[in-house]
Amino acid sequence: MNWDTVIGLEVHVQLNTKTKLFSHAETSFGAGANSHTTALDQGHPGTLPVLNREALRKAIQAGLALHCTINEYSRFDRKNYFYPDLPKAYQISQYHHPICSKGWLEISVNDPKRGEYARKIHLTRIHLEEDAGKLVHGQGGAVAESYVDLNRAGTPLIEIVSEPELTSALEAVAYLQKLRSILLYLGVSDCNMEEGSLRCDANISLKPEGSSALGNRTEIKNMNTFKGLLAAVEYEVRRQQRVLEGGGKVETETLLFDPVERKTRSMRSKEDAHDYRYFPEPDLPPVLVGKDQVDAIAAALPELPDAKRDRYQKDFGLSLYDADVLVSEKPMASYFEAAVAAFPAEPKKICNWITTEIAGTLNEGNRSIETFPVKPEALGELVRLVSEGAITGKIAKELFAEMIATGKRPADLVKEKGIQVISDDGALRAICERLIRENPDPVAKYRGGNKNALGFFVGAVMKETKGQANPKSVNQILAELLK
Amino acid sequence: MAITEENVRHVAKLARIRVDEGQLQSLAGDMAQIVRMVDEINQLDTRGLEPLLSVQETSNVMRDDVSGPVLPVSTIEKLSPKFENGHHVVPAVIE
Repeated sequence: MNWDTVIGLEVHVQLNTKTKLFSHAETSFGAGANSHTTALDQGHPGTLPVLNREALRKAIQAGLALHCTINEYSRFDRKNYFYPDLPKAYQISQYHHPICSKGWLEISVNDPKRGEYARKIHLTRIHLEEDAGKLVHGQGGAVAESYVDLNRAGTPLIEIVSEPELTSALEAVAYLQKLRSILLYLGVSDCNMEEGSLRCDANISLKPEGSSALGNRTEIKNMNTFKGLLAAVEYEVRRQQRVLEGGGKVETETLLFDPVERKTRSMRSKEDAHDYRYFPEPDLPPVLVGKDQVDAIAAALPELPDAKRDRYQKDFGLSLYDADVLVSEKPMASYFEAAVAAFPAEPKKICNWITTEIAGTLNEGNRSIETFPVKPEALGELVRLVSEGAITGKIAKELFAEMIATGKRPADLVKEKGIQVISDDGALRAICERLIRENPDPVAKYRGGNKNALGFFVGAVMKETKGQANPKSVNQILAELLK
Repeated sequence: MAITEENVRHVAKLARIRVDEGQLQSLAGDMAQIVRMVDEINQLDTRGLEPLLSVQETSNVMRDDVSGPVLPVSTIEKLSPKFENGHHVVPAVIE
């Protein structure tokens, strides 16, 4: 039997506010344990939460960017459970009245089986909540104690919940990547996955192909890498398929993915299913957001990846693929735009340099474009020099390697090295004539109809001139002499 | 609403309260009585009334995103039942 895979994602995003959601302690990563907490964060009695205005604004920004309805009325609830990383024994969250409802984002997927396609994925909601503290477990087998650091307790999070509309592990990854890209454009989170600023839970179930009834689902908790998400979902889909095809039943349970063993394992059974007893948080008044306020935030939103992609295609004549590559990371798009500003005549050429040479160099060295030694203005200048015929494409590539090594501007390197393009027809013609005399075989081939043989001569001229010959002139002269 | 011994066990478990088996029946009775008080409220005619979510008519009490003084770790240590190397120490929890 064929099965349809049904996946919904819950993504937790740490907002990059200066202070916590309900206290004035600074949010921090890597500070000394318990050094960034107030009495409220420590869960002491007699303390009262006060909402951080900036966290609310960032949640609304995210909601607007993801086409959500921003609810005029929202409210906080208490989610009750005992765990040592939760000092109050409840988490303040938004359960009944989230700040944002509905919404959607568009993903593009490159699936070896289904090809390249785009899909709209709908969101259920986005709500604000506080993060818990961090538990450190002792080392070794029979450990009697755990250690609690409450620095993270109270850090503002938004939880973005998708509808169960994703149909493969690849779509789940594309969704998370797109979400991350949008949030980075907005600047509401650093989305640093290693530090846990972006974490994701996946709800997964299978149903017979075309059936409308959903099967029992499992939830995989706390994945914080794209690779982990891909591997976990792929594993879990195969596992459920095996269970169902063996005539079994998928148990509703919470799972953890072990990236080393590459398999999921049960985290808690149905018997201790949590009973959170949500009720309205009496210490916080409701949040009312006016249309004016939402409009003002909407007006100040930066250009987002989809809009940028469309603009690049329209204004610069880039292909959908190229535009998508450039906008996927905001720093790369900014780099492109700065280079185009330096030399507006050939955006397509600049794009090619970025998506091939620069992207390749960055990948090799695992570097980021923000610290890349070749500044965008220098790239614009390099493309200008080629475009104006001052240097050849081959020389440009050599200069580029030196620009990476030295950080020098291309025009300075050209001067320093005395590079020039030989466009002098007389000089080039002499070289071409000699090469044709010395190489009768390729000449015969060319005249016999093998037009590729021209490449041999172009290469030879370039070699003789150390790449400084103007390729256009060389081609013209050769074509004429070989006629 | 009838309260069963199972209800009492469940609530006790959620609240982390140890209840002896012998107490279950009397506690179920006590809890039933408390819930009956709520039943009386249910007899009021609330048709046409908006639900009351808060007794205070306030909204949007917010603070700017500005940092302030934190608790010194030495104070936290004094208030903690067990504290080592900057951390609260609790019985091992492993999910």
